[in-house]
Amino acid sequence: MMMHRGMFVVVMLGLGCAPSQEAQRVQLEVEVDDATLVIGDNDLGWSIELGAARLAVADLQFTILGEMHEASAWLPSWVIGRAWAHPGHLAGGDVTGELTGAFVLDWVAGGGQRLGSAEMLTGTYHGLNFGFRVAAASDGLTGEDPLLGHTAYFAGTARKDGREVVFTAQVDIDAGTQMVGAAFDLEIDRSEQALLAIQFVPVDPIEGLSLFDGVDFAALDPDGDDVVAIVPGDEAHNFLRRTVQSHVHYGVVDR
Amino acid sequence: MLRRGLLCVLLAACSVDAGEVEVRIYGEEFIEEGIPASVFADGWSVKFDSFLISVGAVTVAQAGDSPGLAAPGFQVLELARPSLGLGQQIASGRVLAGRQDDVGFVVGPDAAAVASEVSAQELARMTDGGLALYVAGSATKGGVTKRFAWGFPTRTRYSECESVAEVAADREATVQLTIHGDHLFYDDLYSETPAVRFELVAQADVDGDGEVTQAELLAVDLRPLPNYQVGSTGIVDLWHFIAHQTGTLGHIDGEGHCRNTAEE
Repeated sequence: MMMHRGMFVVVMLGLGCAPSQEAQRVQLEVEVDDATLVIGDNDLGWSIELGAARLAVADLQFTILGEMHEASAWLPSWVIGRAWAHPGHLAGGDVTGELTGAFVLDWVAGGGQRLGSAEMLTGTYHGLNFGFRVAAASDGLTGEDPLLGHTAYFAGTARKDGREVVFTAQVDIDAGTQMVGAAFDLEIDRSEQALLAIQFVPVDPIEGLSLFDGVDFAALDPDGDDVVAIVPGDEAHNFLRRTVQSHVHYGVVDR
Repeated sequence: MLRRGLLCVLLAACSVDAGEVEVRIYGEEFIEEGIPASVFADGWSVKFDSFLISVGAVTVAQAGDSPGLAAPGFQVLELARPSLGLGQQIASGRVLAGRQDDVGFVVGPDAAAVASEVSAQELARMTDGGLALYVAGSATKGGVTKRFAWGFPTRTRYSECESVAEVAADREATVQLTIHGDHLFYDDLYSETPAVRFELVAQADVDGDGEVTQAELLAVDLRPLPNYQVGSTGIVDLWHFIAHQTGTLGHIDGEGHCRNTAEE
């Protein structure tokens, strides 16, 4: 009675519409956002400043909300499919744009790095999805790279009540797990010249959710040397493993 | 009825092949008889005393065609009632011959739902309470028993269900809406290989009265745990985790898949 989840269903859209109803195909450049990462507080009062934020992902997908309506029903054969809407939140949508491949998104040292050209259909976009994966040597990582063999790597400083803790965090997420529904609000038309920048949002500006909610850096430092390393197996890792998957910490902006 | 009548007229006029399709809903042995300890990764077993479901908006079609059968009204049924493996009928009608591989249905609250062999009290529990599902029962491990009685107001549309029912001319075929009760106890929302567990639910009974309540499940913080992963949903407590799983129970003809979409 197990069900196969996380799979995609090909969208079978109506055929036979007039050519004038064809959605237009455009190519837009995609890069890692180069904006300075916001310093923010977690729910336990730690102010966190990141000096490293890297994430291994695969296959960026750009979605419109719901199904394509009949007026734009004739679509080229490359239209990909529909992301499963997560029951519980309406973050699904038809995937009408994609940039395939494996990427390491580095929001500190790699801001502005070009990832490639996304194939998009014209339309009103509302979401970004991508898959998590394990970073490998094929990503150009050396044997000493802390991201090697993991999905995410963060480093920075946490401050609270005059105390300053330097931390690193390696995060493991099952390969193939999807991040679904990050914010991406943009009308893309045939003449669109947008440059799409993939954002990392350590603190969700709407609900104030921090990537580090639940992490008490003092509790992680029993020897009091103000140096903390969060690794898989730690309870703090379990907190981070969840928040890293949350769509509220990512977005797409038009640069 | 008018729609069905019109279909019959059209079918006769065109001399096309048609047959009968019957739609049944079935909770399998897991809901009717219980989920044995062998299924659970942590040694618990579960027996449902009640598994009320509000289901409607049933459609049966061949992919690419409009539905040959549509039963929009909602019914409340007791899936824990023994059915000798047959399940319970919720709709029937005459459709064009062929494979009925585009079935849809909704599991959700409906104030106008009608009883299908349930008591007036059970019907009122669902309609007045705005419930899609009501599950009550007990879990046992060793000498410990934990009771539960939970109502869920969630609404899930199951569509594009790939039924294998093949209707032949002047023959009858059955489409089975299959409800998987074990999914309520999965320990991951998106893993391809989740385990079935009850231990965390049992531990939620902090007052030790033997009954695990909604309030106690809401108080369970999932965030420190290595399992009970929630993907992008933002779910942090066990109640909403289980409520989310209610949107994954529906299948078709046993293990067949549907697109499942939460509706607000």
